[in-house]
Order: sequence, then C-alpha cells, then structure tokens
Amino acid sequence: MNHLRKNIFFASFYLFLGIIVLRLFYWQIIKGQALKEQSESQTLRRLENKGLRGQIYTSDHYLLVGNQKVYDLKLDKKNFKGDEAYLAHKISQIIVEDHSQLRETAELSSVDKESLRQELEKEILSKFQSKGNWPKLIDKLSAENKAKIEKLGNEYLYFDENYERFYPEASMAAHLTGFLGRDENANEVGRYGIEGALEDELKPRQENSLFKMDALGYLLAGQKYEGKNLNGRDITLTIRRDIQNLAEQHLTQAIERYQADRGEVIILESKTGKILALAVWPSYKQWQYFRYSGEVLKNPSLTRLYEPGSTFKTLTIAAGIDAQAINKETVCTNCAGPRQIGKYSIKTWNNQYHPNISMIDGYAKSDNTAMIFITDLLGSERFVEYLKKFGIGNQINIDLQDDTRTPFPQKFGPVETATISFGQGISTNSLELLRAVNVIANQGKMLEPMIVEKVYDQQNQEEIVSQIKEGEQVISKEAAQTVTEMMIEAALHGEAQWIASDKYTVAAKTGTSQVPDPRGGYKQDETIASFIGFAPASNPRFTMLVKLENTKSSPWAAETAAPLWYKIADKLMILLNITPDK
Amino acid sequence: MKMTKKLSIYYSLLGVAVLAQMLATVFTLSQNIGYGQKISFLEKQRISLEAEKNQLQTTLAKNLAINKLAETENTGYVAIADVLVLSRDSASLALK
Repeated sequence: MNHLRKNIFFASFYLFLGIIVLRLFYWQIIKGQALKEQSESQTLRRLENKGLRGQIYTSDHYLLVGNQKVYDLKLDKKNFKGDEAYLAHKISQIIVEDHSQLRETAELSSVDKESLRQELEKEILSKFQSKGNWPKLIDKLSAENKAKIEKLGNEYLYFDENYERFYPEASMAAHLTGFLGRDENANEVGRYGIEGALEDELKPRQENSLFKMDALGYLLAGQKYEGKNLNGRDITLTIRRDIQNLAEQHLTQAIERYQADRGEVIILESKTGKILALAVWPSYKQWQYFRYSGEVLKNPSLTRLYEPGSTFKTLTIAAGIDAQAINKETVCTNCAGPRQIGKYSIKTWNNQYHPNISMIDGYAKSDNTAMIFITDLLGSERFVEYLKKFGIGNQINIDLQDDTRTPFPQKFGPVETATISFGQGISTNSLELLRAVNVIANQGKMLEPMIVEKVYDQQNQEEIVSQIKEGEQVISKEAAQTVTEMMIEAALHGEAQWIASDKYTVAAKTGTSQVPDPRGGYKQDETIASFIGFAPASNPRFTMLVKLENTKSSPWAAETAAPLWYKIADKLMILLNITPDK
Repeated sequence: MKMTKKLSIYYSLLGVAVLAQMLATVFTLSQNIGYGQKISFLEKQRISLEAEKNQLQTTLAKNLAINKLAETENTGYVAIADVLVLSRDSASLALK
C-alpha cells in the first residue's frame, strides 16, 4: 500500500514535471520568437533624432535663412460634431488677417482679403468631404495663428509640429542663398546658390537609436545615451546686409527709372575678392520658388553670358601696357578712319575718328580703332595669353550651385582679334568680367571671388574660416597703376564725365554692348549698358559692376548704368567708412 | 544540539546575505529608475529649450529685419552735398 502511494506520488510528480517541460517547450521553442518580439516591442523604443538644417547669415551676423516652427492643423473628422461652415469661416478669417501667413510681403487690400478668405473657406470646407479621417485643413501655421485657433476651443482640432525654412529678410539675396526644394522622392534638397552648392554642409543629420524602456516609458539604465547636436552646419556669407539692401533697392529703382528688362549689381571688396553684395533683378521669393521659371531661378551673374562691349577695353589696354607694346602717350597711327579687316569695315561707336589719338584719350573716348591698334602691336597669341591670364573663359570657383562655364573662342583670326579687342565676339559673365577688372584694383594680382566667409560646425563647435584665394600676378604693379590712371581719366573725361564724383577718385569704364541676334548680326533695338570700376582709385576698397539690359530710356551706359554706379558708390563710401580722397 | 546551532548560524548568515542582496538590488534598481527618469526629463527639457531658443531667434530676426527697420526709419535724411574738408589753413573754429 505504502509502495503504491509512493509510486502514485512519483508518477504524479513526473507527470507534472513533464507537463511543465512540455509547456516550457511550447513557450520557449514554438512561441519563443513571437514572444521575444512582443516583449521587445513593449520595452524597446526607437528614438528618432533629427537636427535642423544649417542657417545662413550675412557677414554682419544677421540671419538670412533660418528655420521656424510651424504647425499643420488637422481635424478629427470621424468624431467631429458641430457647424463645419462656422469653423471654416473662423479659421479662414484668422489666416487672412495675418499677411505673413500668406507669405506676401505687402499688406493686401480689404477687397483682396475678402475674396481670398472666401477662397480659403471653400478650400477648408472641401477638406471636410475628403476621404481620410484626419484631413489637414491648413499647413504651416505660425505660432501666433496656432494660438488664435486654439482660442476657438474646438476639441476636434489638432496640431502637428514641423520646421520650415524662414527668410526674415524676405527675398534678399535670393540668387545667392538658393532655396530648399524637393528631389524626385520628395525629400528636401537644396537647389541653386548656397543651398545647392553646400547641401552636404547644411543638411541636418539623423540618428535612430533603440533604447530599453521600463513600464512607465522611462529609459532603463545601463545604456549609453548621448544627446548629440545633429543640426547642419551654419554658413556665414561675405555679403553685408546693409550693402546688399542698398544694391537691391537702387537696382529696383533704376530698373523702373530706365525701364530695363533685367539688371545686376555686384560689389567686391577689392583687396580680398569677397562679394559684399550681389543684387539681381528680376528676383524671386525663395519660399515660392515653384512659381518661377528656371530662367529666373538661375544666377545671371554666373550663367547669363553676354558680350561685354567697351568695358572689355580695360583688359586690352592692360595687356598692351604690361607687354610694353604701348604706354599712355603712345599715338595711334591707324585711327584716322574705319579699319578694313578682310571684308569687314570696323567703325567707332559714334563714327567719329581721331587721327593720332593717344592711348589714354582713345580709351577715354572708347575708340574701337585704338583698341585694334593695340592688338596689332601685341599680336593674337600674346593677346589670347593675356585674356586667359585675366581668367576669361576660366570657370569661377565659387560656392554657388550654377553652371559657371564660359566658352573661350576657338578661332582667333584677324577679324576675331580685332572685334574682341573692343569686347565683341567674346562671351563672358558678369562675375568673370568683374574678377578680371579687379586684377587692376588689386595691383595686378588675381583674386577669386568669395561668397562664404565661414562655416560653423555645431556638433564639434568648430569654425572653419575661408581663406582668400589669391591667383597669379597677371600684370605688373606698375602696369596696373598706369591702367588705373587711364581708368581715372576715362571716368573724368569719358562718356560718363557728367556724373563723375568730386569727392573721391573713381577708376571706371562704361560699356554699351550689343546683343547678338540668333538670326545673325546684332539686334538693332537692344543693348546692355554696363559700368565697371573701383574706388577710391588711390586705395581701392570696392570694385563694382552695374549692368542693365535693354534700357528703354536711353541705350547708353553713360546715361543709365553710370549714374546708378555713382549713386550706390556715394552711399558705399559712408557704409565702408571711406574718407574722400579728392 | 551542536549541529542545530551551527545550522541556525548558517541560515541566519544566509538570511542576512539574501536580505543584503535584496536591499542592494532594490537600491540599484531604484537608482536605475531615477537615472532613466532624469535622462528622459533632461531630454524633454533640452528639446523644449531648443524650441524656445529657435522661437526667440525667429522673433529677433523678424524684428531686426531691414525691411521692418526701414518702415520706422527717419526719412528726413539729407545726403551731404559738399563734403567739408578741414585742413591746417581752414578757418574752422574747431581747429583754433
């Protein structure tokens, strides 16, 4: 009996043990993987950490492009109870009252506001009928408008937080900053200007980490947690906000005054090559980039090729003087009338001829035959060599995303050499020409234009300052000095003498170039007026190019581009704290 | 009897050791929970401070925007037409 009880006990014990083992086998082997996943899903949390895109500043520390928090307004449509029309009316009213929300720079009239509000109300109401349960009623709301909508006290409205690019200075320097667009996968990507060129520097970093959490959602210990700064790098440009604003304001006024189609103003710091301002008209609003054609978005200072015309004579003169083929007083023995080269007869711009004109007068009077005389003495090969040294046809190495290639003429026969000597038959862009003329201001030494002053890495708290990019000595210091004197003479006694400054010396040259006609020859009714120079000539602080296309008030640069140049220069003297040198 | 005493000492020591281990475990775990809570709190605080900093920076930039400043600019500015250059021979009172 006793033995039987013992056997029953052990049998029950082993049966029980067997059941446990089987159960354990079931949980650990059969259901093991699923349970493990379930457990991990309850304890492991994926923390997504993403920084903000790097910001862009002017050299005087003003924010040009930043990031601001915005809110998307969503509706809990499934549970919504209430008056849809009333809610749509109220929301549209709040939005229209804030013109910054509409991303318009100017205040709208009351009539415009009301029609816009009605349009918006209709749009919101249509969202109530959309398929999803959480329709987005309005996107990119400002914090102020979010607060106003919250005051409506509607429990079915929710907000999603987000960041967007923010432009406190409106569209200032749009062609320099570029904009934040989207790629084919709808990911944000910088386009044009700094945003495009320095995408890798600006873009924020993202980190996904897995952490074990307790039941209350707190981090379990024993895990390495590092709160890194994942923001993109901040970029400081070389432009100064006040100078950029000055250039943009004056350019806009000039476009209106002279009825031009397009215009550019570029100001360089003569001794460093830093771009102090680059204004372009027509400009665009970076936050509405999709409304503009690709042609408007491109930076014309880099991409728009043109025949520079008489401003190019500065390079011809500089080559002649440096090669000692001419000096200021050299007399042109072949300037008594139009020059016949092959089957072409080359005339002066006003069809007036000055036999035995000196080089200094020939340059001041912008005499084409005097320029041909210089290339006659120099020879094609040496002339081409100088043009290349001046960087004509050499790509500009600058941190702006645009096509900066400029073709250099393949054929350099007698006709081409003659026409190129006075700036026809050769294409360049504004920045390339400015770089070349700045060689004269910088005592004959080449300087690459710079747009990035420094880059700040927030993660390593490290600042990388851009170095001045000095090139070769293109012409001697003495030759540069002589060309400067000739440019001073051209400014004082040339076509634009009527506007010349009596406070400081200016070394400059006008240029009225013709626009090639795709059907051959040049357009009869279109010109590009430009004025290029530096000041004060005794110790250049800035080199500036003003270019106006197809001005209707007058085709001549002396009457359009030159006055604009002097107007800006007058104010630059104050902003750059330059004392008059006259 | 002797054996019973030894056993009771052994079990007492074992009990003390287990109790000490329990206390140590509870203490360490409470520390861990505290640490996790602190990290989570600090992380939330960091995010909120960063958002606040961004908001302040945005407001400051908006208020300092040159277009906004231009609206409040004194438009009575008159450019100097003729710059007065003072020299040793100038009759200016400032030089006397």
